[in-house]
Amino acid sequence: MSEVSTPTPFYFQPSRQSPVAILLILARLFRSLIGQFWPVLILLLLRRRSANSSQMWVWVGIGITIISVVRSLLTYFRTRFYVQNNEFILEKGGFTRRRLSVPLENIQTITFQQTFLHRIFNVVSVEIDTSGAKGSEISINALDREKAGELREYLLSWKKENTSSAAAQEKTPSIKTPEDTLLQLDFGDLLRIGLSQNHLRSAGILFGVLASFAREIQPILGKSTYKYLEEEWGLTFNFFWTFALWIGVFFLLVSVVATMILTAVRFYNLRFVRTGEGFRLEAGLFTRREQAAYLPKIQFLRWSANPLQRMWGMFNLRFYQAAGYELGRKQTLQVPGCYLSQVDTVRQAYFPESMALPWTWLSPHRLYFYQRLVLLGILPLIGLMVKTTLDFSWFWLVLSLLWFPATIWWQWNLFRRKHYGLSTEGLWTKSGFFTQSQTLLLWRNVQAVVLHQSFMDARYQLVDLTFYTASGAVEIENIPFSRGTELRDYVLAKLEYKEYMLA
Amino acid sequence: MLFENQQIATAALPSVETVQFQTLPPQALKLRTIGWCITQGFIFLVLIGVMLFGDVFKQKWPWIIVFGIWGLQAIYFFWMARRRFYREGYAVREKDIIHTKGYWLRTQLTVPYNRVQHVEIEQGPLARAFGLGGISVYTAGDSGGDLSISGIEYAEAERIKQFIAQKVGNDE
Repeated sequence: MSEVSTPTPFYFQPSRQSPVAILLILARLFRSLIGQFWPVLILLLLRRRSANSSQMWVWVGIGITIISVVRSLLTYFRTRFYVQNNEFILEKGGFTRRRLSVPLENIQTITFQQTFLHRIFNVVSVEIDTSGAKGSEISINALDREKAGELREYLLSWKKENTSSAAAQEKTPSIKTPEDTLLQLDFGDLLRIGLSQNHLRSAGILFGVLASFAREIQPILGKSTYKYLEEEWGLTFNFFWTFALWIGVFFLLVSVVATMILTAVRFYNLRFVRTGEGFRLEAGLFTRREQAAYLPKIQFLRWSANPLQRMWGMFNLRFYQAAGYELGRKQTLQVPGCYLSQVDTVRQAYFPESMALPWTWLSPHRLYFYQRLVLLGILPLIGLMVKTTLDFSWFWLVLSLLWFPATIWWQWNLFRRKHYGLSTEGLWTKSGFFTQSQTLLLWRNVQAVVLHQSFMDARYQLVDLTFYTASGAVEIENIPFSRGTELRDYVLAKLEYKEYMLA
Repeated sequence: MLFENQQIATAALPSVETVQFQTLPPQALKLRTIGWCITQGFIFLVLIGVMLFGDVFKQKWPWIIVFGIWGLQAIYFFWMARRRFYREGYAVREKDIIHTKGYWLRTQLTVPYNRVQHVEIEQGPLARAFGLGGISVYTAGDSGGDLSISGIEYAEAERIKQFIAQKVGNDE
C-alpha cells in the first residue's frame, strides 16, 4: 500500500505481532512440553525398545509437533491488540479465545525484554502491568522494536496527560525532556559489583545444595560419606578440619567465580537513563531487559551498601514500583553500582523535598534489642549447651562460648543503627550493620496502615507500624505507642483529606 | 510533637483511638466454634487412624502423650478463640474502614476508601445457615494491605460494600 497522507498510528487498528512471534510461541510450547514430560522422555530413552513401540512413539512425536505448530499459528493469527475508547484491548487465544481490555489509566509499567532469539530478529516482548485484578497483565510475545517504542511512548504520554490534570499538581509543558544517561557500567564496575556480592551466602547455598545431593546419592554409593572419607582417604579427625577448611575455601572460590559470571551476564552493558516520564534501565548479555519506571508509579526507594561497596562508594539502588498481582521480582528495578550522585538524582526525582525538609529522628526502644537477643542469642545457646553436654567436642564448646557475645555485638550494632526519620511528606529509615540500607517512602504512596502490638510491646507501651504500598511494605518497630498512633492518624488524614494532601 | 517545624496541629487530627469499634454478632462465635470443632475433630480422627492402622510407636504410652498434647492444645485454642473473638471489631468511618483483632498480637488495619481497588463479599455454606458472611476490601498490590472481616451479618456486609462502592465512586 502507498503512503497515506496522515498515517494513523498502527495501535489504533487491530494489529498483529511480528511474525517472529510464531517461532517464539512454538519454542515456548516445546520448552513447556519438555519441562513437563522429561521424566517420561528419559524413561523412554533408557528403556530397551521394541521396534513396534518405538514406531508408535515416532507417531506420537509427529502428532505433538503438528498440534504445536497449529496451535502456535492459531495463537499468532488470533492475537490482536489495539487502543480503542481509552482502553487497551488484547484479543488472544489458541483454542480458547479471550479478550482482555484494560483502561489506559490502569496501566502501571511497560517492560521490554529481549531473549537471544528476539535480538536476532530485532524484536522485543512487551509486558504491560496493570493495577487491576489477577490475570489482567498484558503480554505480547514479539513486536518490532520501533513499534514497541512508539506504543510505549503513546501509552505513557496518554497517562501523563490524563492523570496529571486530575491531580493538578504539576503543569509541566509537554516539551520532551531529553534523555539523560545517568549511569553506564564499564568492565571495572561490573568486576566490582560482582566482587561485592554476598559470597558467603552463595557459598552456603551451594554447599547446602551439594550436601543434600550427597545425602541423596549416599544410598547409591552404599557407604556413608564419612566412612568413605576415612577408609579411602585415610582421614582422621585432625585431617577432617583441614579438609573442611579447604572445602570452605573451594566453595568460596567457586561462588566468587560463578557470581562474577552471573553478574556480568545480568548487568552487561547496563544503562540507567533518566527519561521524561521517569527512569529506564537496560541491561543483559544474552537476554537484554529493558525496564521503565514511570515516576508516579515508584512506591518507595531503597539503597544499600555492604562493607566492600562502602569502601568503593557504591550503592545498590532499588525501585519498588507498582505492578500487577504476582509479578514478584519484576516489581523491583535494581540498579547496582550506583554512586552517591545517582542516588541523589533519583531521590531528587522521587521525593524532591527530602533534601530540604526537617526530619525528626526516632530510634526503636531497647525492647527491639532484647527481643532479638532472646530469639537469636539465648534460645540457640540453650540448644548448643545441650548438644555440648550430651556429646562433648571442642568445636561445640567453643561455638557455645562465642555465640552469646557475638550475638550481643551483632544485635547491639543493628539496634544502634536503626533510625526512623519522620517528616510531613514521608518516611526515611536507616538500618543494617554489615549491609547498611536506607529507605525513602512518600506518605502519598501508602495504601493501608497496620498497627501491631505484641503483649511485650503492650507492657512497654510500644507499637509497630507497617505501611503497605502497592509494591511491598515499610515497617517501623518498637516506637512509643502515643507516637505510633499519632503518626498513623497523621498519615491517614494526609491520604484522606485534601487540605492535608497539599500541606 | 510528631514533627519538628510543626505546621499541622496533630491533636486536631481525627484519631482512631477514640473510635468505638463494632463487635461481631454472637452467632459468629457459634459459627467459629463449629468450624473449630470440625478442624479439631478431623485432627482427632487422623490421630486415631494413625494409631489403629499405622505403625509408629510400639508401646502404648507415647499415644497417651500425643492425645494429651492434642487435648491441651484443643482446650487452649478453644479458650483463645473466645478471647480473640471478644477482641475483634471493626469501624466504618467516613473516609476509611478499620479492622482490629488479635489477643497476644493486636493488629489494627486501616484502609482509606480512596485506596480501595475492589470489594468482595463471601459466604460459605455454614455461614449461610447463620445468615453471616464476610467482606474483603482489596487495595493495589500487596496482600498484606487487604482487609478481611469474616463473621458479620450478611446484610451488614452488603451495606458496607454499598457504602464503600459509593465512596469510591464519589472520589473519582
